[in-house]
Amino acid sequence: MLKISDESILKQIKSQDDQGVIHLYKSYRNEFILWAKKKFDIGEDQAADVFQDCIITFRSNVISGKLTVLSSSIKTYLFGIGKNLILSKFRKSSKEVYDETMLNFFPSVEPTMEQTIEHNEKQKMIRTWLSNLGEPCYTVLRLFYYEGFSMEAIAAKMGYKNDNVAKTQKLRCINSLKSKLIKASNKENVN
Amino acid sequence: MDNSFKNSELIDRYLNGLLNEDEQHQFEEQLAQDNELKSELDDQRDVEEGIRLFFEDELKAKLQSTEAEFKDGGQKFLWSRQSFYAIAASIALLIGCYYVFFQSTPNNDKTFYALYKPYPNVVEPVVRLMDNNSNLAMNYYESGDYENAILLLSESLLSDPNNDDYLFYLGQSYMASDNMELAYKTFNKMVTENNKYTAPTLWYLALINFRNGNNQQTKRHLNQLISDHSDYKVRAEGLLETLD
Repeated sequence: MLKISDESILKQIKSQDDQGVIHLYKSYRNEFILWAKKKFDIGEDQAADVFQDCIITFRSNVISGKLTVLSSSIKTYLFGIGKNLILSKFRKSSKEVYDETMLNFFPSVEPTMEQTIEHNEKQKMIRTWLSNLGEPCYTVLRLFYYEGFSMEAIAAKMGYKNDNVAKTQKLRCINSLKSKLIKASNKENVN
Repeated sequence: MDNSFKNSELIDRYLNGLLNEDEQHQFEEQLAQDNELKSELDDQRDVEEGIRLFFEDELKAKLQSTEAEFKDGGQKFLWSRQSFYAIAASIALLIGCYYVFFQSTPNNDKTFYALYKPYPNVVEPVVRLMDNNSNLAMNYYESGDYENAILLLSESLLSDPNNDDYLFYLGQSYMASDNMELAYKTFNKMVTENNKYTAPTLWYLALINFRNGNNQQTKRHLNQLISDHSDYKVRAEGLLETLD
């Protein structure tokens, strides 16, 4: 596979192109899986699953602005996230054959709790509603929460008059989900 | 804007780190004294986090699809070296269209489950359907008892065979019970003419086809959703990307 520079990868991810993320996955997938299998005694499917979460966390950090400058290579950063994820996911079941000193080779990447991608019951319900959400809510929420667009950029993209219209639209969508959540919680309490 | 959520904007700014130091301090003080505000904050936090997770799930589905390509690559390699497996595959093909079509492709399963969620019950109780049988069916559907929902909706369809609500939720119930063959047949009865469920029906047909590895049909449904500018357009484009 053609290796592209870390800067280009960051640029691609920031330009809201999932192809950049997929390219990143393909670039380091084999190496990560071999490393994870050897160091942590986990299976290929488990390692692949963890690596997908690494990529998602990495992308989220880039989009949210938590990660703007790389003090190490993307590979080191990704493997650092991977190390934390594996330790938090598999520590109990792992045979713990790995050498702790080896782990220190890759830096820990904070925050570790966020990386464990846990969904509570309410969030699960919200995800169900979102999978069938109509427009413009689907796109507005995607642009803001996933693509990291500013309100001005959302207004331009959606053809709204200004950022206040975009803000109001976004809050309408949030409130409609909040109403459903409250309704569902009340129903549960009655039952 | 809904007045019952008068704090939405303030909470939104708080959650997204847009309050200045004074505003944040004031908000946190208010929060310590106001249980209603605290509860609204918790709900909004769950909503915002749920949204983020939902879109990350969509990305996860794409990555799982990419992962499946790696595995497919490995399988192709093995097959080309071991003609025995090629012969076995030929025999498997003879089992028939029925079996092939309605058995899922393992590599698509993960992506399918990341994208598939049962459609919510949008039939309001006040206008809801029409008779007790159907009301009960929707209650079963809502509580996840798809077996009973199927029984009652099938019964309702006997007296009203073209009712969109019955057909759509019957298809949904089959799909949720993992009976893709009957879900597919039921949804197919609905796509001949436009109705309020046209777009979601196409989306679920696309998902069933995708899960079964029937890429041509999947693309056909997705392209229709895109050209119709339906609510599923962005989702359809995302899934289409994984097929190209």
